[in-house]
Amino acid sequence: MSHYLTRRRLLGSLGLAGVAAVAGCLDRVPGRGAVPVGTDGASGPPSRDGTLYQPWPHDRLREATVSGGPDKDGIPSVDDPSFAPAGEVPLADDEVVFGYAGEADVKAYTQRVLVWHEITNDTLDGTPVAVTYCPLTGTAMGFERGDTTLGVSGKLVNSNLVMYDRATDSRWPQVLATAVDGPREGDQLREVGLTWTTWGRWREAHPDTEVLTEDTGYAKRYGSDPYGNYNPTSGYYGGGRTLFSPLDEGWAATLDEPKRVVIGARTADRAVAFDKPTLREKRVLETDGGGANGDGGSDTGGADGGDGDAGADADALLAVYDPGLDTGWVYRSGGESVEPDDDREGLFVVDGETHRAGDLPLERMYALDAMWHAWGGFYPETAYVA
Amino acid sequence: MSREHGGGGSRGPAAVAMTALARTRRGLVAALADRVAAAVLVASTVGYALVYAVAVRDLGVASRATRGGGEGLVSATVVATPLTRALSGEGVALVALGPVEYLFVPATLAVAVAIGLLVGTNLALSTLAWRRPAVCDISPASGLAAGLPALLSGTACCGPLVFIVLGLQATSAALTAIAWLRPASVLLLVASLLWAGWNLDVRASGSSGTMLSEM
Repeated sequence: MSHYLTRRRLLGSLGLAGVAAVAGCLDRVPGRGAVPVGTDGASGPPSRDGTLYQPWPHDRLREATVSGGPDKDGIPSVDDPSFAPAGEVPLADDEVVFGYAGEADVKAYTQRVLVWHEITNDTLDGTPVAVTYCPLTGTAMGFERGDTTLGVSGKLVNSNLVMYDRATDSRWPQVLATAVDGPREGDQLREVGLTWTTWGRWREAHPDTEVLTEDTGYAKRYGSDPYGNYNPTSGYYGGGRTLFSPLDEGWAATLDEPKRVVIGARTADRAVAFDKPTLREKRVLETDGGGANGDGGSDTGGADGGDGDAGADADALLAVYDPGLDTGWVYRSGGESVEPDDDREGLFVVDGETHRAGDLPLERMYALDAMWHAWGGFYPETAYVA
Repeated sequence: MSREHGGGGSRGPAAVAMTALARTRRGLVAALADRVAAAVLVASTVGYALVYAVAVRDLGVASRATRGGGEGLVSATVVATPLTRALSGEGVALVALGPVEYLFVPATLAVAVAIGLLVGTNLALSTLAWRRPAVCDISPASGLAAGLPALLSGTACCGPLVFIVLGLQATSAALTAIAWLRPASVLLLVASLLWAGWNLDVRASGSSGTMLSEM
């Protein structure tokens, strides 16, 4: 994200971390500006600083890539989005939106529009960004796009949208944020955090927000979701099997609910999934530290959990629930104890002081909502915390 | 009675095809001259196009928010560059009539009407045969049966959506099969039409034609 951003403002509004995963989002992170050059001198999206965990060999991912039906750009990205103030767009409170709140821009991208386009090429706080959404994996992610735009390749891997950049035609599975084919193979994208929430919640938290309008340059039956409905969940979103074969099916042994929503986060060497329905109940979930994958995580149910190995706690990840936005924020615990405030929802006590869920004095991680089959398929060794 | 071109047992495929085409053309002319058969042609073509539009989700009920946006009983929104959108197979206008909305996609409408016409002509010839029972035993259901794959192909544009509806897991083979549904259905309909025309040999004389048959 832009160097115009301050970390405080960003942390106050986004669901992303303060580590390498969002290095480009923070004003204090060095090493920006090196944009790799693709074919014919065209440059693609800027590469992230640091490595993001990605367990699959690229040839295996290419083998598992299938046609999703439409051709390349058959699902057209919105390249000239328009926005309107909150009061000027007739949206129901329970409409799903993907929110971004930055230093200058506060925007809501509606699922009802993005389900028809999957990618919106926009500019946020002065930085070119692609806001992306994959209906089949239930994932909304933002990426810096540099001087190019991202488009929908028409391909899927592990049911997930495979994007391409229009500078080099490299292929980037959305959740992996990694090029697995093309001149940029192996490069990874800089992520921009989005909050998966509903319009009513977002508007209440950010009355000054703008919202993506249906003036996309395309005629579509916005509001008619071909996959089902989110409120209440039905159709594809409501349950049942995956549409395409997963990369790995080990996740079913842990939890055989493919469409259950988890809040996923990755570091350089591991992935963690926090069960979102459980997080709503318990308010805090934490891994058992050490960062070992495949341990199934731990059920902490509160700040006193996950401390079986005090020496490893610094590497533990924790998620706290934000009832205002119905989202979870993920942090590195840093060995700190985090306890929910007994009297006030959405507030947590860290080192004797009370903080809002989205503003704990800890290192925040980039995190995203995802269907369990998608997360488990991409990250077979993920910890599952519930 | 005898056929105009005889049995054709020793004639080549090209001559047979020409005969079939000629007979089909005469049959269609006779069907258009028959009020009931003509009505069947028009109704089935329009009906098929409507069902196709629903199948590809171009036609349906607007969402709550869209209806809440209210611009009166009837509204139409046209994209800024309709020609560009039309050439790329995209929609060019959204028309709302009360709670019902229709997305006008020229390419989709052309396909729907083309296949609908094939279904309609099949049914029209079947109707003609039904109204002239002495002619031959062409089942009125033949046109409908041939049209089913075409209707199913309405989901081909949307790839995996048919699998969502059917609750199946998409495989590359299944997706390939879906992609072939539309051309396969057109071939089936054309073959069915020629077969009907071959069996229903009409000699144009008078407004409704006279049918000749060996059957």
